[in-house]
Amino acid sequence: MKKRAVTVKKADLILIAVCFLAAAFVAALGLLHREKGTVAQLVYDGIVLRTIALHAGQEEPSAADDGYYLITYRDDVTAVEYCADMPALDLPEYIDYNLVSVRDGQVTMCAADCRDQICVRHKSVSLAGESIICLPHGLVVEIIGERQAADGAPDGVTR
Amino acid sequence: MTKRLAQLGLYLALALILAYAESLIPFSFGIPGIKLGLPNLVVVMLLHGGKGGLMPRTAGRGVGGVRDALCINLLRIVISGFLFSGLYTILYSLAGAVCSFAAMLIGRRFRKFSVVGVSVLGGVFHNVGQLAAAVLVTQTVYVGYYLPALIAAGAVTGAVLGIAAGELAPYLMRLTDGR
Repeated sequence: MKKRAVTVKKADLILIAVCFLAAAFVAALGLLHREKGTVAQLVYDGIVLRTIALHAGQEEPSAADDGYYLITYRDDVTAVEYCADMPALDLPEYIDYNLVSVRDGQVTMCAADCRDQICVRHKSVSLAGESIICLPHGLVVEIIGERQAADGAPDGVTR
Repeated sequence: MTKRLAQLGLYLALALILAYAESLIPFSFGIPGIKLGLPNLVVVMLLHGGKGGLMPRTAGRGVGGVRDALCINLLRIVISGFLFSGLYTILYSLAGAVCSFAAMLIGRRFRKFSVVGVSVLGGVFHNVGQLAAAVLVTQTVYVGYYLPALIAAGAVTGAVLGIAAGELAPYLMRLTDGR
């Protein structure tokens, strides 16, 4: 039996254990704060573009803002357009876009013309504190819960 | 000197090949930022060979050491960034790599860890660094939601790469040593 080049020391195992404990601790903290989001915010460059209600109001019946939100970037002009049905994405090439869908409290990035497509592959988000980020376009979709909303909405946005 | 240059070039080429291989594997968990970090294999190996190397069989032989490792690390990030991804990725990779490299240096100085421990530190702090960069760029702290997954993933990939680096290094060093 040839001698192995790698010897795993005790300190290594302790370190790995500490990493997992730290991860579990942070995850547990997150679970304690887990709550359904009440609104979704579209944030571009630290500025809230649009706040979307995720659930119909309980006391006063108001409809949730379900549907599609098309965010377009043209030079420095950023716009959000609401569509009830999936819009056709026949935009000219010089306009960049993200398409966000909201349905039954689930927020999904349906399409985007960013180069890495990481935001499109991201799972749907619905819980307070979750977010979908499109780094190339600088767009953040944040889910905000009641607790944060009560503290004054922009507490998560540092600027 | 020329020999050293050629050897470092080989290591850089290896790191780039690994980066290319990694970019071919569609590897997504619904959480951005989790990657194997294959190119880091080369950096871990370099950090452990050469003068004052951690691994008994490769210490003091061939290229390696802090300066070589840092040099290859920065070069491979910039080159593979331009080749396979984009400027944004370079920014994040750099943030991750700087954190990771600092953590590995401190871990190495400790003398308590083997290759595996140092590599775990590197993996975890690479992810932490990238997350910190994401917080700065997106101007929101909500990305902290990913922290647990990224710490755990960094520990696992770091351990795997550490073992692989430790096993490979003696052979690779022998090859590039020309013995």
